[in-house]
Amino acid sequence: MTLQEILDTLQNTMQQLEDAGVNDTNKHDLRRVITRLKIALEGAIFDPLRELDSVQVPDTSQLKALAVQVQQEIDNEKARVALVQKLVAVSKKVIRAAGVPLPV
Amino acid sequence: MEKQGLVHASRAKAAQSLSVLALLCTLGCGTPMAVKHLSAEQVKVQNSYLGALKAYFKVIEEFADAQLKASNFRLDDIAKKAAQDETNEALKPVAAAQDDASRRKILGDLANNVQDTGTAVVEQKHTNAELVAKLKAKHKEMLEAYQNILDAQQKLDDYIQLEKADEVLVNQLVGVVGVNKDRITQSVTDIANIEGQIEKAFKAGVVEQAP
Repeated sequence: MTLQEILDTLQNTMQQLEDAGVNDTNKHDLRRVITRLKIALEGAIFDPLRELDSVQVPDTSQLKALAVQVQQEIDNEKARVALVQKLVAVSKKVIRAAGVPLPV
Repeated sequence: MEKQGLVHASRAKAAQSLSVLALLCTLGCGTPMAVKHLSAEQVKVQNSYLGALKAYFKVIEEFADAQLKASNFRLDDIAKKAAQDETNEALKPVAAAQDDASRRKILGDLANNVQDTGTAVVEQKHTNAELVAKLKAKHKEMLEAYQNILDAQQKLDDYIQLEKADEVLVNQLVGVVGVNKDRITQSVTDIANIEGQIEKAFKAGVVEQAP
């Protein structure tokens, strides 16, 4: 039985009491129970959000550390490229100085 | 014999050229363009997906906020109606009370009951608000994780798009020789074909010379 079904049943009982002209402490208690149930029903709307605690987001902290290492490799590769370019430029000069024609 | 020697010489030269060009091509190929394109596209798509995810979470959060407001409104209404009912139910006993002490007790009970309902309403509002805040916090956590994934992918892409030292070296060398890489690749293919033909001719020559 859902909260809504319980509430409906209690409200029917309440209505029967009113129709019968009953106005005693029991009826008042029933009304209070209904009130509490209505309040609880407002909470039930948001209950599925409690499941969020079980939703685990993957730990990505390692990615940050590894990205730093990749950046280091990028910097190293750029340094290697600069060195290669310098070596080739020097080699070209030496070859030209030796009288070997090279394309521009 | 002369024919066989010629075939051997051609074969050796072709193999040597093939090795050199294959080495050059292997060194100079660097990261294939297909890999670079996929990597760039992946970063682009992930960026776009992050945007969609943010927009989606925003809508869900607005929906949750609206639900919370509606629920708070209903809770206030419940509290108000309960207070009204409590008051109505207390009116008759107060009127019928024989003395002040009885009246005070009835009014005290009325105040307590109204306060109890009010407290229950406030607590429920607080619980609901906490759950919606939890939803938003989870969204934030998920977006941060996705941003980290995207940043890592971007970093990988930076590396993939980078012109590598061996690639630069071969580009410079082929520039010196005056050919381009496409021609080298084509040459390697051509040489491989020629070698295949030489191999066939060589086998045919051996068969012909066999007694």
